[in-house]
Amino acid sequence: MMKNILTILLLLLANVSWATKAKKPTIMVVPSDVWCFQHGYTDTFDNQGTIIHLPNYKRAFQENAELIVAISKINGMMAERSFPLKNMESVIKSLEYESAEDAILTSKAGAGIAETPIEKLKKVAKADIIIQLTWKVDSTGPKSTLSCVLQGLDAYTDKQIAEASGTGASTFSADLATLIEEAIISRIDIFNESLQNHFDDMFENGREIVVRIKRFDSWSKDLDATYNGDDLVTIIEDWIMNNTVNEVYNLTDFSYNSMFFEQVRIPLFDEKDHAIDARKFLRNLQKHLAAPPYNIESRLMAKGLGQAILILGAK
Amino acid sequence: MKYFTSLLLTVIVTTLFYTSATAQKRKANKETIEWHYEAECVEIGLQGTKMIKIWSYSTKQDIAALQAKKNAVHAVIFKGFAGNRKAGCPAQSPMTRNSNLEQEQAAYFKEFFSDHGKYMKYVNLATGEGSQSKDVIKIKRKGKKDLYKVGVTVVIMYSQLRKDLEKDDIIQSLNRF
Repeated sequence: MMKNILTILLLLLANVSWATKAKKPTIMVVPSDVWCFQHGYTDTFDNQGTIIHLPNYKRAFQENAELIVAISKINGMMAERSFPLKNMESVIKSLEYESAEDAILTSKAGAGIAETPIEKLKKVAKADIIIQLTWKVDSTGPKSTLSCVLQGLDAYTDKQIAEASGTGASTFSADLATLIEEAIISRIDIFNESLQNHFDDMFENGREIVVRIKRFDSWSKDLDATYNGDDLVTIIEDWIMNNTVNEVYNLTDFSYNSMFFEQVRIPLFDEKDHAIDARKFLRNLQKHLAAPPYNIESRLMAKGLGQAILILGAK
Repeated sequence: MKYFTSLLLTVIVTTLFYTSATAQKRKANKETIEWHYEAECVEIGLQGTKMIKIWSYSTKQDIAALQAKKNAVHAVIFKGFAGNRKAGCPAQSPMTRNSNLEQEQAAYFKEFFSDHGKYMKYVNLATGEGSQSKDVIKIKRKGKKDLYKVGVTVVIMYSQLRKDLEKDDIIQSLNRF
């Protein structure tokens, strides 16, 4: 009996500590476009006369051993700080496997896996924070130096949230792998400091997200429609203002078809102390607009923790 | 009688030696509390470590060298250290951004920096204990005793120090999620 009570108490405690944790962003190290271009890991397309170079990450991982050294070093050192990262090479392999599996998977009746074009488009290696990695070796006679840049980019707000860069000592003999390892060892703590500043800011002032409001063209109304004397733009803006931390948000752009909010600071937890992200935040707006007097149907879409789109007029 | 004289002499010499050592230690501790030092990176250490040169000040060379280990650990926690462009070694900010941490956690740090305190776990003299290989600069002062600026190279177990301070809830962990 006593044992059972203790188990229940422990489970409750575990549940409470789990419930009070904020949603953890995923982080992945990605070689920068400039690195891919300089090392020849790009595919070139002719887009109506404009030459476009797109990075070919798969080939970079298969052919460049130094890239593996650099990424595994960063991953290892971040895991040591209790913050394991997503490994891009493995993510690419998983996506390929999933895609092959989906292509051949059928039900007993012969039905395939349902996938919309938008879902197909979204099937790429992604993370909430991207660590963009670049290095360059400069040689002067027999001496060479390595410059290294680590940029932490928020995938939703496109802001650089962390950085560490610099040039190492000149050397006559050290090989490239050693130089890369040294550059990462000496800079990762500086990078983590700026990342920690970003997290501290998030815990203090809320998570920064991006919100888009759109309308289906089949909807008979638009954002100029009025309810109790206020147009829908004002009603949505007021809701955002009342539900953000310290009323911090920026309505960057709006028309009768769409609204674009940036720098929207949402709380990390709701009133029930449950962790929330952009999707859960906008789900409440969806509920608000579905209730009288608005009675507006809408579809909610999200991209990771920090971006959500509400499309008004249909499910 | 001869036996007693030699015994007495031994006791006196031991007591004098002990008193002088204790006084020296007390002086070192007193000067350490003032945290008068400078720190700079020497070269990129192995993973999880930082190799820094710590410059301590005292009117006695030996005391300045004694202070080095405590000052070095204090520097990485509270002050950070300067970089070294030649060695490709970047400057490092302190582990804490809370400028009042030392006062807020006074009891913890008093014990942490006490003689044979926990700080010793995280620092080694790069040149070895009792080594003479230290840089000494004599600073002449008008009407006062000469001041010695003594530079000693130490290796700090940076990752382990950070982990333990996080475990003791003294500094924030990167993973608060």
